Amino acid sequence: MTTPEDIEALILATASGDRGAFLSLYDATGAKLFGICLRVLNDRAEAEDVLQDVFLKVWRNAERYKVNGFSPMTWLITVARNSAIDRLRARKARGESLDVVADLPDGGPSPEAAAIAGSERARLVGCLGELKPDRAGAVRGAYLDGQTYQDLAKRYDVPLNTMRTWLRRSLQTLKECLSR
Amino acid sequence: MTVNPTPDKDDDMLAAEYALHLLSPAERAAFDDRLDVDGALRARLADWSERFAELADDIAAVDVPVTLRARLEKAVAAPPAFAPARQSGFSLARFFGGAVLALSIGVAVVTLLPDVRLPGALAPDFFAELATPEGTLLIAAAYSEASGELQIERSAGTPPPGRVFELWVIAEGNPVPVSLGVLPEAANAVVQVPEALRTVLPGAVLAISDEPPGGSPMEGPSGTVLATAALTEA
Repeated sequence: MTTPEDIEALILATASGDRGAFLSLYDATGAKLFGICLRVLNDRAEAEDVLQDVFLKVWRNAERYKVNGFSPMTWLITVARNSAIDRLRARKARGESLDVVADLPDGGPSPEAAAIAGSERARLVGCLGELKPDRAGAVRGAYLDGQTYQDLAKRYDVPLNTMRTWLRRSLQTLKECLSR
Repeated sequence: MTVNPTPDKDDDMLAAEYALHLLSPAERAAFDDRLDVDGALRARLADWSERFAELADDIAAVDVPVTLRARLEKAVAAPPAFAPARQSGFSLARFFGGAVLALSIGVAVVTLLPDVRLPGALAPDFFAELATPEGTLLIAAAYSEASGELQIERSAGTPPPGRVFELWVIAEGNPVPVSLGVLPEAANAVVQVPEALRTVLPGAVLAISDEPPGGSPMEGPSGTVLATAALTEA
């Protein structure tokens, strides 16, 4: 079983140039991060390419992990998600719209992910449940699919500013719920 | 407790939008700039990032083609095996995504160096070259383990009017960069590295930031980090 402490130890060892630890980190988290890249990009070849970039970034920048205040999996997930979203936006900027509607199923957490998830977790999902389904869907769309305000406005067929107002209110409600 | 809740609330929403990647490129860049100097904002971002990461729990792991592992293995095996943090577009935001811990270590003493070289016995054994991608700043640093002295030679770049350059060390085990002092106007200087930092300096990353006179008013750099480079063995 891979605990957050294990992941952290592997990141720290990677920061000191330990190639074996780096590959162990890849073995422990690569499939999860691939799932995240694939979810955003919905294209296996592109997701694989981005995943390679993600791990090379981790190799080069692992020493930054120590000072960023994120938990180990959140740090890796953030690196993967940001890289995938950057690739998605670059694709859109080139005008190559795959017109993706993410059709990948939201499976339950893998045993590995469940093991990695800290005990503090599982509150956000509860709080999202207090929002109207479409508002919660917009938050998920932004996080999981890298949708922009423009994408979301189109998806829900509302003006851009309305979408922005909606989402900010949803975030405020979430914050209040999480602070309870 | 806060005396002015409105900006806090706005910042909190902004941090959430940043974490979701909803800000426009210009807004995102402006937020990145603020992250460089605003620890409270970094903490807000870390908080939202942790919360949102919960959504990723629902994403199933997917087997990666085995060829990728082989490619990564090859990529990291190629010498030089490890070259930390000498990159263009370095952003302190990425360094300090989250909360910053307190650390108190005395600031090093920087002395002016007349154009005198150290004797051979104390020849430096670790070097770093701090440069901006555009070549507007070029500072060479050479550290001697024997003497604990860090020689600095600035061959390009001067601080903007009314600003100074401050030298930092980002060492293993220290959550925030530790100041090695404000660099003098002269091109050459010697930094007497405090005892506490001598063991961590080899292999550590040096950074140069743009600061108000007297140096950063806060723990860690307050201004833009202009260049970073690892001190590597000669």
